[in-house]
Amino acid sequence: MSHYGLNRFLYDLREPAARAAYAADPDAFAGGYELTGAERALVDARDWNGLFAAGGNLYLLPNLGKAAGVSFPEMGAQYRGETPAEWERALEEQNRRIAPFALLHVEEEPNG
Amino acid sequence: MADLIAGVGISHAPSIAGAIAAGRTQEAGWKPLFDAIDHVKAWLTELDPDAAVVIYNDHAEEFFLDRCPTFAIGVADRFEVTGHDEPAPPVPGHRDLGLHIATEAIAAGIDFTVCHEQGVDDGVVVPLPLLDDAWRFPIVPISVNVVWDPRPSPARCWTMGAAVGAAIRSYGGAGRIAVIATGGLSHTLVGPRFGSVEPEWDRRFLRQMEEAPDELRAYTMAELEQVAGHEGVEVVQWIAMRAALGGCRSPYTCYHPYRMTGYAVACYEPDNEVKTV
Repeated sequence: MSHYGLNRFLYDLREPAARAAYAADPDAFAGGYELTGAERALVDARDWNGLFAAGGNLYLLPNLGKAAGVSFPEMGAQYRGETPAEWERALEEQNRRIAPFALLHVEEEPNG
Repeated sequence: MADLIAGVGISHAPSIAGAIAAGRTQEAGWKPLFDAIDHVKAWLTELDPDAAVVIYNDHAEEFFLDRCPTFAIGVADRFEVTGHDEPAPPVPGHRDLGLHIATEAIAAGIDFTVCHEQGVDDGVVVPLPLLDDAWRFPIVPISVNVVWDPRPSPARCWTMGAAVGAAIRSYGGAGRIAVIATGGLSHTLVGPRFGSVEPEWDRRFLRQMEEAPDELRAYTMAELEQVAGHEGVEVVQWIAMRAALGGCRSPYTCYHPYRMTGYAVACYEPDNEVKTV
């Protein structure tokens, strides 16, 4: 597992020019990096959970998302195995559950 | 000698800046958080710090795997902003204070990577303008590596924070210095738990910050990932800040779980504070 090569690939995709080069010719661009065959297959499949399990950094994976035209919320839904609509419903459901835990604690001044 | 006058903990999620950009701060979902941030800003403005030590984490923007410091301290008059498509003006730094903290902390066994150039990302530039909208007080940025394995333990972050607190108090330059921790609380931005918030644990953490700081040192990173979510480990920055303060009281805490993040902002007043009334 190269791990470092995978993250170097993902890190370099933060530059718009690199994303354009990758989009124009994925094989040529990715060929310049030390990616294993397994990593390359995960990249081609946009398998976010697989890429994370392979050591891909979560803050760099969205660079590949951008290059592939996948927004961060869409990536989120894909991590969860949901459609964007399902994920939004789950988020609203969670929000109803967590909202009552809000806290505003204001300490009284000591000695008034 | 300088006074350590204040501690602040504040979330740094880009969604906060997004809500501002979209003009949503007065919507029901966001208003409690922005009201709380305004309260903390007024509190900090009244305390009138001369400088702030900002304990944050980089998000694989400035520090890649090629060379990744466990603890980095910025020692410069200005810090470039990194990780933004739109150019942003550099952030003012307090070079002399940064050098003093680095020197004292390294003498005490905290081997900071000393950075005369240190690009600062959302971990600094999302929350700081909410507390100081004109960059009136210069900063000393301290980055904790929480995004690349191996990472420092919460206990080690505590020890780093305690050394930073001692260094601030031994600074010979006159000054009123705040310590601001950014990040947290619970959130997860990867994997099948993407978007999960853990409000029960967040509330417990805020209680521990106030009443049982010794318990904070007992966590492992793996435990924090479980209870606070994968990115909830950013709370080690709060733990370091808490260690810097020593004894303190917490006059104000807001916790606001909303959508993908357990947002929090809290004030801490060290017992040593000398009020200028």
